[in-house]
Amino acid sequence: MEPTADFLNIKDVSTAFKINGHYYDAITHVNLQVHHDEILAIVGESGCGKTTLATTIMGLQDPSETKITGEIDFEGTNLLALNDDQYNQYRGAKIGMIFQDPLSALNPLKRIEDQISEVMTYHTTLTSDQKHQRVLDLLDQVGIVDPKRTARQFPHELSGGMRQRVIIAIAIACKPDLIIADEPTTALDVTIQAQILDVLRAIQQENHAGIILITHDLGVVAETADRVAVMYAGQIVEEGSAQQIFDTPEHPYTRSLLRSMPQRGNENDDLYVIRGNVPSLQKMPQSGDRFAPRIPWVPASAHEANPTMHQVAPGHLVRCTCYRNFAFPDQALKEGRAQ
Amino acid sequence: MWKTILRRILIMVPEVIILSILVFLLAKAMPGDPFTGSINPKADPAQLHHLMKLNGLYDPWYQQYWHWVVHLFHGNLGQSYQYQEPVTRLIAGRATNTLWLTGFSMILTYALALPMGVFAGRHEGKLPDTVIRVYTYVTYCIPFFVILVLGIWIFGYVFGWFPTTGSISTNATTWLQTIGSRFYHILLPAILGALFGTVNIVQYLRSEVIDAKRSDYVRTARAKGVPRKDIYRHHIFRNSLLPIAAFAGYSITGLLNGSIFTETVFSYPGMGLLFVNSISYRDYTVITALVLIYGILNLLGTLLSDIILTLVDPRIRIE
Amino acid sequence: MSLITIQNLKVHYPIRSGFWNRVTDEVPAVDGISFAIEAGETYGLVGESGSGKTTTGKSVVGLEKVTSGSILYQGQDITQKANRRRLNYNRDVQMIFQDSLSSLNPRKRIEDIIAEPLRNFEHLSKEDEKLRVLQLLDIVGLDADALYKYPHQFSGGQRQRIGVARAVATNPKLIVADEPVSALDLSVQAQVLNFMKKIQREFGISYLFISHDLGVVRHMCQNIAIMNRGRLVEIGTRDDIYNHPLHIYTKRLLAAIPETNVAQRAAHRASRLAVERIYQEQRAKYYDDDGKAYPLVAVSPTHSVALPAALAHQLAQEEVQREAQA
Repeated sequence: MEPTADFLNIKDVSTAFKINGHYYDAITHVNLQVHHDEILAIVGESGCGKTTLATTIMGLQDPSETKITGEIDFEGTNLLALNDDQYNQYRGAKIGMIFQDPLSALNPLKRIEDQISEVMTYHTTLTSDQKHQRVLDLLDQVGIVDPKRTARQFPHELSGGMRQRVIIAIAIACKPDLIIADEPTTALDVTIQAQILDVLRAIQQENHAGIILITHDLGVVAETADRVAVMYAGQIVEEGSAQQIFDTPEHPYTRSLLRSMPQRGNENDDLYVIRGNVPSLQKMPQSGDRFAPRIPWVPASAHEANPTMHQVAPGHLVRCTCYRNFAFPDQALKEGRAQ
Repeated sequence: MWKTILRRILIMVPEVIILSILVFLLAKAMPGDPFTGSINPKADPAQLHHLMKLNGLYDPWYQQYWHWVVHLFHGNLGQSYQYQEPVTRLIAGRATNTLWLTGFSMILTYALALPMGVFAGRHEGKLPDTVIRVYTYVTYCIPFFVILVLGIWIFGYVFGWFPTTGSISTNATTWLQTIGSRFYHILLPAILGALFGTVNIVQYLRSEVIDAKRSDYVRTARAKGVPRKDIYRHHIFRNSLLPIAAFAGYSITGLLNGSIFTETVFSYPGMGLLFVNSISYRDYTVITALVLIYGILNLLGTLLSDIILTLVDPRIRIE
Repeated sequence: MSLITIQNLKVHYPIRSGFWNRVTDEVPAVDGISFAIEAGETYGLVGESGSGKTTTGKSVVGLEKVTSGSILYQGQDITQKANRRRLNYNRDVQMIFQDSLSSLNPRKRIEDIIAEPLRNFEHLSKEDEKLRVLQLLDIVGLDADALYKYPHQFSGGQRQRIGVARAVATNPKLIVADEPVSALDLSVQAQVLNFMKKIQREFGISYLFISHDLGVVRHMCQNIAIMNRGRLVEIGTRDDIYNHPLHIYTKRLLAAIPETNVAQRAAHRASRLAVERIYQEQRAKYYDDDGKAYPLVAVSPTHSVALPAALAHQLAQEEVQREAQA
């Protein structure tokens, strides 16, 4: 297995939800590759489709409520062509998932040990003694001090950080090649967040896994990710290495987000505010540049009719390059401030 | 855990005492006196007065209450005026019949309600769910006694499949015939009672299953690659049955109260029928005893619910 | 004189246990803290979950039963209900909550939500009330047609601004803001923070800004208190706290803030792990025998740290030298 080969190739995937009998795209024509040994961060604000992308890869969408097109090529298999039973051979075994809210993600009535060993029941041939030992090893690996005690406990007896460690233990129990972490630290304190991110990074190095880290927190991205994809309104608008995204951002949305972050030194300035709002699912424009209404200083004629991803540097892709001709004007900054 | 249960049982003590005081005061407030009807109506009022005094009926109420409680513990609940029989013996005979009916009805209720609720929740929005929901709405809308009367009319008179009165056939001689006859008599009332009793459980269970289906821990189980049928078995059913199990205690009290209707309509000689008859004949000693018994049974039902909940829910179980 | 002076505030919650469910112990949610908020400033109260920062905020608004200590406002102790009523304290001090949806009554229209504090404290005529509500909506940048809408018809940022409009309706002197932006997206957070600063400039309101997000606190607050398990471990100006932290707990919190400088990632992580190691190994040095924070010791007119006096001054000295070298 080539350490840097694409093992997950998302090709032109769209996921539409049924609302009042009509289908609306939550994500539109997403193309992404994930490599072994990397952390790919997907950033964006609520409603941008980042969680939908995660659940689409995991096959967790209810088929009667969603319409998914495109192809998700995972180690040579198109996941989207599998039925539920076939998908179950991948879920938990080759793809693990970490959830945002560690309390509700655990069954309140089952002991921690049972919740971790359940995943091994379906994907390994371990005996119950071996599973017990593996549970203790996993709890130790995710940094739980007294694995024997914790294994016997129920979720409500653990702190938020401990629960998230348990969720991670479940996700890595079968040494998956791909781990999808959906806002894994949003519910946690900063010091715990740092520890959880350390655990994730250690696991990625140990298992040579690829990790998709979904988050709205740019700080977490800057500290953890190797590559970054920025999503806006169901589309990826910019993709590149962490360095490229934070040091030479191209898309006005990425640039706006970075400017609206409180940072050392800008205490006396107002923060940058993006004009307008994210369009709702039902009102999403079907063609044209979805970010155009929020950057009125770029004339309509300058936008591409249907913006596509352009390579601006090796590995650095941005949707529509017309912005390069229109610098972020101070005028716009002031207008944003006035809101 | 045992501490919690013991504490819960101890809480019942003051409840029972308050209940007994209320029942006692209720009995005192009723018109007439214990001798009305048992002595010559033309007797001398002075003699009656003397009798009352002899029996302590002019004592302060707490002394009288104390006597009453002492009698209670000796199993002496007084004499039924209507049946001329000790209340204790009278009720004991009727209670057996009621126990048969409500016990069987309860088993039927759960045997019907659990599969229906789970099935409706699992196939939410599909045809079986719609059918079950229509069934629960219709049953919910029709008053219970109408269901009973309709049941008797259709299955008892029109088809003649079931007996419509009594608790046992007089022809039953052998042990087996006795049991058979008993079941034959309680079958129709128990089924009708169960049909009515399922409504709440089905609707409650259905929404529990639907909630569990959408819960985050079920999504986690899906992400583990657990097959759907196992998710239902290991996660959804167990978690949605928990509140239903706790509900069991309360539902006993519901069934007991429902048995008052059932027994009256079916002329089934249980406690419920006795209660209704005693009210129409103003048989106060029996009424007081039954109110006390029903009250204690209700308290026991809620106690049972709390104990079940303590046993099955780890969030309460842990001290 | 300070606007609000908190003196040795304690809020203890009883723990019931044993067979008879008697009070057998207490949790010191807030365990003797003192600080003062000046008029027109934003005072930051920072801590992790369970540190007691929300309990402190609620005590300041008068929503919490205080065990002991005092909160002085205009020279009177407002932990006494009678004083609160006499001073019209509940008009002068308002609160903004984290969850904008659940803190606004879903069945009431925006007009009624914003007018509620006006109806409680200022008995205006129907017309004056409406004018005032319109004026408030204008201040928070919402159109007049918002009047007849319900909370769920707004986005999270707009709802948070409605919460602010309600809080400023009575011209308060102090607003206690409990994690006002932690549920919001970055761009919306920027909007609400800018807006809170704008009202402060215009109306001279003070904020008690409660947050776990040190980045946001640095942006908003002139003075900051760091809270750790019911006690204050360090108080000081923004410069004191962010550039010259003395207590290991403060250093640990600061080290855990993610930096957006990708090139410095490894160095930042190394320094975080170094601080974490000191925190684990030298606990005894920074906390007393019961594992609690020491009383605060002043090392400069603005900067105090919860350490034994000798250690505090030694660390402060080292910090001065370090800065001189740099």
